[in-house]
Formats: sequence, structure tokens, C-alpha cells
Amino acid sequence: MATVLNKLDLPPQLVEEDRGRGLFRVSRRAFVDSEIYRKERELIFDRCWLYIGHSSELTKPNDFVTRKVGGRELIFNRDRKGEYHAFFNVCPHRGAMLARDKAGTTLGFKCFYHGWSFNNNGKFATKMVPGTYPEGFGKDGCQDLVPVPKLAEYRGFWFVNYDAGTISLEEYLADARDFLDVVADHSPLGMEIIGGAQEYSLNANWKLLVENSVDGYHAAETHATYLEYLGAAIGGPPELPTGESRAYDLKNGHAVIQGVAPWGRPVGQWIPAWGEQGKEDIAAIYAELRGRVGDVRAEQIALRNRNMTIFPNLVINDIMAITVRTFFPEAPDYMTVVSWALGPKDESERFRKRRLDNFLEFLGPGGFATPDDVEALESAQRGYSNYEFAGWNDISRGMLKEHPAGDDEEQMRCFWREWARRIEGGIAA
Amino acid sequence: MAVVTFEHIDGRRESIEAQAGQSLMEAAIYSGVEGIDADCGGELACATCHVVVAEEWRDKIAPPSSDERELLDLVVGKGPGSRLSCQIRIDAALDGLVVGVPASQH
Amino acid sequence: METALSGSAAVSRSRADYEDFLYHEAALLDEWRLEEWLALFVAGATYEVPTSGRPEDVSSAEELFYIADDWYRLQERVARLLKKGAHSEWPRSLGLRMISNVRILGRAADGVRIGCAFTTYRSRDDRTDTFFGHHRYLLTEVDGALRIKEKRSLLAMSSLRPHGRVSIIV
Repeated sequence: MATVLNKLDLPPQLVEEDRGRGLFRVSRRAFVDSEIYRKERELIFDRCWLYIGHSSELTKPNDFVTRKVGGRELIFNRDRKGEYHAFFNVCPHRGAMLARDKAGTTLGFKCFYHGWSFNNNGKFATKMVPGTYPEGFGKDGCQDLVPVPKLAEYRGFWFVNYDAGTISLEEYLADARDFLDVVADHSPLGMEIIGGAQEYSLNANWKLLVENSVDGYHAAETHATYLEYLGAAIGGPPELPTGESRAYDLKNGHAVIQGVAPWGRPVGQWIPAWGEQGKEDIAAIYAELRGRVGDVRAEQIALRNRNMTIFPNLVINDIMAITVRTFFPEAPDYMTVVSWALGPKDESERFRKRRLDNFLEFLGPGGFATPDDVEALESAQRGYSNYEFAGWNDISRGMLKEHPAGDDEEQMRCFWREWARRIEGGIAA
Repeated sequence: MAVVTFEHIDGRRESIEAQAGQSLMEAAIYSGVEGIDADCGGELACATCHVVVAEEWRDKIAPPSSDERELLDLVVGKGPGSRLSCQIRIDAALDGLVVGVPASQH
Repeated sequence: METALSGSAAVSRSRADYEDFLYHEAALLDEWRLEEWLALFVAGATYEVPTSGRPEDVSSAEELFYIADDWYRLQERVARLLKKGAHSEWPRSLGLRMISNVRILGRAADGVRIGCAFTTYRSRDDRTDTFFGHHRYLLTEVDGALRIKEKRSLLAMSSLRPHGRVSIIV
């Protein structure tokens, strides 16, 4: 007799929300299915504003960086007048990449294949012997570098969009703008990306990293060893009151959790390990903050931590250091990640070292926390091979509360509602 | 370091300090000298960094390579003394160099 | 900076001595004998792993690294790795460290600079990641035994893809 498999009858909807009962669940198919992945590339990554870089990475006219954003190879640069551009990094001739250095300064780009050259504002700049090409060749813009449809900036954070008809960046960022302001306002001189990006990967679906980056609930369990380590630096067992932190829906799929934490914050929270000199330094920084942004904002900047996601794939975590992290799915079960450290310009050497130490203790592939997050997400991805029988992720935590906390899951629900809106036209009731 | 003077067609003379190791084109661009388009930014492709070297300086500059000579055939208004400024490397021996800026690079 | 040494002012140990030391260090790491590995360091030692492709003398006070441990943090790293709660390495991965191209690079005021090439394999769950590059050591002598004052591992992979982590001691 044939064996009957009891696979779930999987409904077509991928996200289900029942506000009355306080239940929210996401189909695990969303993490493994190739067709969904293809739809994400088209409906999310080709429609949303994607982070490309920070102003501080291009300090002078003629500076450039190259990077892959949303699956496409780009040049992000400033021209001779200092204007910012983003071009597709592909020669209009036969397609070789025009700039293969990660970063540099150049007045023009020359393709190494056949020598076609371009002004760094994208204009074709190669003279051909008459008779080689039709009259007027190269003068009509057809051989110019192709600019990315949209490029815009908010407080030093630059974004591109592959959809020429999209809404403005400001409108898209919605209430996330206020929290980007909080990060940008750490320093009177502005913020800068500190040298040395961390480039790594995970064998897991990209949406798992969105969730993990704003997940207060997992800290006590996944990162117990980090908290044990922290105890010595702060002079006692660390208390992580994630239950007192708040989640905020910033609209358009963006979300943030904000609250207090026991670790040191170079912008304004002292810990005993930093000694008396550190105490004086922090007091001076706090005083400057209060003078510049007022008491309430100063307290928010100095003493509160923020984990923020900007839909779809930008994370800015302003915690014991500031990380700017972006990631992209090369496949349903593989993402590439780039992680930068952000800090105040003109930071003292003492504080820069403290900040970088803080960063590395927790964040990054060699830290005491991130590798365990990698483990958790890769483990989940392996678990999803069971999706036909064990088919749903539950993300209901805190749904019935008026003010969900950082260790609830409202911040993930914000992401999934927007995801469902784009991928399947809304959420099934 | 060398002081270089650019003579414009309206008679205006503009003197700048060029750094040793820079190209004459780079010195012009970074100092904001008008009339040197240098569209390709020094890659020997555009022939729009054309200058006319003053007669007394012509034999004090290294002669053009065959690549430069080929491209010089395509400059607008080529004449004796025509050079591509991206191919002239500044050093102390060029202190006092005088070049003319053409009416147009295109 | 590398300086070839010669004559009696040079180090008193042969390259073979240093190779033996490095093979011993590699064996301890392969076998997860981390406390004994830590005992190869002197108090105040440092252990650093910059991001890929940086200059050899890049400073961890100015740039983001993967690992920039002072002595305190290095001890804590070992303590953490031995806990089950270090989930990235529990269950423990299998590993193999190949050491070669050992060179005596020069004498410093407080020790001898040694360099070598490494290939480190980390294997777990049907997947093997290969880390490779150069180690740079400042070795000193304590009671006739070699000890590590500084260790810097310069990764030669262009990124940590597909590795995803540096959860082991490479």
C-alpha cells in the first residue's frame, strides 16, 4: 500500500495576521522559494531605495568607490565640480567594468579593454579617427555612462533606486528620518565611515538578517557569553532590559527599537572599564550635546540605543558602537553582507579606539556575538528544509500590547507587512 | 614645483603653481584654469587638453610619444607647438613655462 | 619591515626552532587545546586580524578590523570559545592548520619577528571553509621557551565569503 504523505496544505498567502487574536505568522516558503526570490528582486530590490554609501566615503571631488548594490555593479563618485553621481559600472562599448578599483580618485574613467574613456561626470570622452564611426558618433549621449535612475541623500546617507518613477527618498524614509537625524547628530562636525569594511556572507535568507538585527528577544539567550564578558567590564552582572525598550513603526516597512543597555556608548554612556579619564571625556561630550540639541535629545542620543531597519536591507544599529550594515540575496539561501563602522569626525584617538574595541567585541564576524547570530540564521535556514511539514514562523510576540517592547516582535511585523504589500498585494486576514 | 603661465586668446595671462610629478593638465584643472576641457581626465583619449607651447619652450619639453602624435592629429586647430597637456610632466626645469590656450577644444 | 639578518648579532635560534614552535601552536589549535594555546602568549600580548587587503602595518586604533584583542580580550575569547554557549563553535568544528614559508624577518627591541604562511581549514556540517594568509609574530623568550608577544593574522582571501565568520583562531 502506498504511503500517504501528510504535507500541509499550504495556503498561497505567505503572511497571515489576526489582530483580534494577536497572531501573526509567516510562511517558511518565503525563505526558500525561488519564485518568491525572483519576485523580491523585481518588486522590492528594483523598486525600493537601496543604500549605496555615505558622504564621508567621497570626501573630495573626483573621488569614487565601486560596489554592488541590489545585484548591480555601480560606480559611486563625485565629478570635478564635486557633484555626486551613481553610474552603472559597465563600458558602453562592449561591457567590461569601467572601474575595477574599490576606491580611488580620478578625473576620468578609462576602460582597460579597448581604452574608451569617459569624463567622471559620465560623458563619453574618446576621439576616434574620422571614418571609423558614423559622423556624430558619441556626441548624442548614446556612448555616455548610464546613470542609475535615482540617487538621493539624507543626512549623509546616500541611496539609489532603480525605479525612475519612485517616490522621493524623503517620502520613502517617512518616520525613519527622525532616527537618522539622531545618528547623524552624534557629532557637531558630522559622522564618518571609519576605514575597513567587513565583507562576509551567510548561508541564509536575507530576511532573517533583517529580523535578527532588530531582535531584542534573542540577546539574553544567543549572546549569553557576550553578556557574561560584559559583566567584568561594567563591574557587575549586566542587565539587558529589553522588556523596557520600545518598538516604533516608522512606516513603509521601517522600524526601530530603542532602549537602554548596560554597555558603554562612546557618545555618552560611561562604564567603569573606561576609568576616570573616560568619565571626564564622556562628561564633556554630553555637555556639548546638551548645548547643541537640548536636554531631551541629548539624553536620547547619549543614553539610548537604537536598532533600526530601513526597508528592505539597511540596518543601522546605534548601540555600543554604530554599525551600518547592508546585505543582498544572491540566492534564497545565501546573502552577502557589508558592515561598516560609523563614528564622529575628528574623534579623539582614545575614543576612536574605544569605539572600535566596542564594535569588535560584539559586532562583526570575529566578535563575540555576530558569529552566533550567523549560526542561528544558518540553523534556521537548514530548519526551513522542513517547510512542507512544519510550515510557519510565528511572529506574534507582543501583538496584543499597546506598546510592544524591544523583545517583542512588532518591529519584524512592520517589515513583513510592507513585504506582503509588495510581494502579494497585502496581508491575508 | 614650477610656475606655469597660460595665455588666453583674449590676451589674459594666468599664472599658477604646478606641482612636480603632476601633468600640466592636472595643474590646470586643479587650479581652475578655463579652456582646458580634458574630458577623458588624462587617459590620452579625448584630445581636449590641447595647449600651444610658446616657441622658446618647445624643445625644452620631452617630445610627444607616437600615441600622443596620433591623437594630436585630431585636435581642433592643430599647429606648431600643439601638445596634449596631459602628456607634459611638470618638473623644476619647466619653471616659467608659457603655453597658449586654444579658442576651443571642440 | 623585513631585514635579513646575518652574523653573530643575529638571533640565536635557527629557523627550525621557530617552525617547531609554530607547528606546536597549530597542533594545539587543531585539537582545541585553547588554554594551552593561550599559555603560549605572555601577559600583555595582542592578537589581531585586520580586514582583507589592508597594509601590513594598519592600526586597529584607526580602522575597523575583524579581531583586535588586547590581552584581556584574548583571554576572554578563549574562555568564551570553550563554552557551549559559543554557539558558532558548538558543536565544535574540525580544523587543520598548515604552516609553511616560515621566515625570520628581523630582530626588534623586545623580540624576534617571525612570519609564515598559513592555510586553515574549518569543517562542519558538510561544509569546509578555507582561511589563508600570513601570520606575523613578535616572539620573545621566557625561561628559555618561546612565547608570543604579538600575533597578527593577515587574511589573503578577498573577503569572508563564503566563510561568514572568524569564529575560530585561524
